Amino acid sequence: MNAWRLSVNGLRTVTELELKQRIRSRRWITALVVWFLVIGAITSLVILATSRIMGVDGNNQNPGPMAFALNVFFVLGMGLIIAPSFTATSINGDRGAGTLATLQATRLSAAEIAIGKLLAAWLTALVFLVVGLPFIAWSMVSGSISLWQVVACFAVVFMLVAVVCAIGLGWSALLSRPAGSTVMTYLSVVALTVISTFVLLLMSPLVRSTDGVRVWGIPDGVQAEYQAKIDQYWATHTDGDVGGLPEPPIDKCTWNTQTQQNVHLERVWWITVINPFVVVADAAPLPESAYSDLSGYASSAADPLAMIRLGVRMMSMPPETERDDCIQLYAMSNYYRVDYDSDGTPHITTASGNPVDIHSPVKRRPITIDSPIWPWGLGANLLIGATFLWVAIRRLKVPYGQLPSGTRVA
Amino acid sequence: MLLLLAGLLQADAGRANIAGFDVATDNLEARSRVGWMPDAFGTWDALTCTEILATFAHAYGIDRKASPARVSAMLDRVHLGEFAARPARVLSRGQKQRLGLARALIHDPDVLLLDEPASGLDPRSRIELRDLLRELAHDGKTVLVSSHVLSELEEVYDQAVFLSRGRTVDTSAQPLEAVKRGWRLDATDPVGLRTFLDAVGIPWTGQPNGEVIVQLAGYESARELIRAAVGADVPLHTITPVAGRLEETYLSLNEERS
Repeated sequence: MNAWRLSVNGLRTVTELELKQRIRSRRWITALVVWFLVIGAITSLVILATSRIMGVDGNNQNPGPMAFALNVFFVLGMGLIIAPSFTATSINGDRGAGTLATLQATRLSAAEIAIGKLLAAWLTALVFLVVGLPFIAWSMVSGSISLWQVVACFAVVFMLVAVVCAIGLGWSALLSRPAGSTVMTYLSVVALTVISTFVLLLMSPLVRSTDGVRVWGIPDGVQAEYQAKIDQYWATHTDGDVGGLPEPPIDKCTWNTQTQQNVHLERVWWITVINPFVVVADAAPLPESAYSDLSGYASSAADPLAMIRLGVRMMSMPPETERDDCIQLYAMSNYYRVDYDSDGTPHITTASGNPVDIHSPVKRRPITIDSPIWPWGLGANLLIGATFLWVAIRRLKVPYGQLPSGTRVA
Repeated sequence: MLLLLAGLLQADAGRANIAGFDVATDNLEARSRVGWMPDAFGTWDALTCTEILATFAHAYGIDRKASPARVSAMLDRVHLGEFAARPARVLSRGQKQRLGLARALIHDPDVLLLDEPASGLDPRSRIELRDLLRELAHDGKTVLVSSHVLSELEEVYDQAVFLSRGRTVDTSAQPLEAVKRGWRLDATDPVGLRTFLDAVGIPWTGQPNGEVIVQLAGYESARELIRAAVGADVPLHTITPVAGRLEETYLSLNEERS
């Protein structure tokens, strides 16, 4: 069909036209300068704040990952706010100004007009994002962020910005009033980010259920006996010396069946996958060590991107059907150390370093990054963007059969 | 209807061909042979006249190397040469109208569709527009002008089509000659003219500037009046229909309708 014909010349004509119009106005330069100052101020603040936070209590963690994550999220958030404004009134605005019909009457196809507009808006948004790059580079310098990480994060951000540009274009083709299409475009962006999160939160009570669980623990009778011993100990040791506390009766641990309340987030977690922030967090490359032990890395490196990644993965796992209560007794005691090896088998040693054989049958599930989630999220977003672009092209197709109510051709 | 011919609207019924291409089945080819100037159109205010025309030249697929020469020639043709590098927002309404015409002509279309082309034009531009349209028609282009201002069309039209309530009114069926229309008479001796009219029994109404309006049915009556006036030695120097032919036809159609 004619409407879908694409030529380099046609795309170039529309894109050039849109860019020229935008660049010509003085406001553009002002906006860019203001934006440069704002992003500079925010990223500097982030870097200073994170280095101060990380520096306290002598734990001297590297502030790099935290600063980088906050800056990337800031740039993404701003991109999601700025980019729609370039397209949200693009088609109905042109229709109102009487410039759209004269273009449609030329040899340009509907696809060329729509994609040309999208390209121009996207390139403009990219200029805004690229202005922020020097500050991102600065947060790289403050540590442990690889160039690869920056490139990957920004590539994903660029694609997500293209998606919201396409959403704006689609709405501006669907609705005749610029105010309406602007509202709908921003609502769509909010739906992807905030509303999707709220939906997940509100869904969590609905997916709660009471499930049976096998517990490796102390039988009730033994537990009562043990508690009595402790009470007796404290009755005779009023000085607060904990040295002679009786050991938990781990050897009496047996399997028994209990019920517990589980929130089955694994049924609804995929809602967050569409969130652009989750997509970027999941796509951010991490150091090699993080891939085998994500939770260990996330807590030690204080990396928000890794934490989001961890959170999403934890939500995606069904609740465990076996629980080890005995190990909790050790973990709570100051006299024992609980360590897990790479496959999740727990090892317990006394404070003096002697291993304790506990025969715990329950392994801890390690959380690794064996399969990425972000391609699904990015794919879903690109699909949404493509749908809106398709809508825009359909609405620009001439000759019009039935005119949408409330619109004029020229 | 112009939207339909410009390839932007689909007809409910019937067919339309532009330079041999059906606007429904061969939309793109038909579109690229039409120059369309809508009655209300916008310009990209921030762009210069040259840039606007160049954009349209590219949009019609004109070679990018050839377009600058074409654009400047077209600007000269509509007398906007001095505005070539000025942004479109400084143009007056008439100048914008001329830019719109240049835009419709940039790809050398076979068919030109103009909707109220003279609105906002000063008298000189109106005359230039008239000459330009005649020139284009002479070059073998089809020029279709839609207008509500009939006097504007009076001097350029070859064929007129009257549309009333979406239907073409058959003008040939109208016995135009039989309908009485107003004629304006003037003589170097206004009193003598009035005396003469009273003498031959033609009712007249006087105008403040000394002219006289009479109602005559058809050209034959007008010729008779002239012959009689010359015979009576009345110094008649002007006899002209009050309204143009189109206007008269239009009014006669209205009479027919009511």
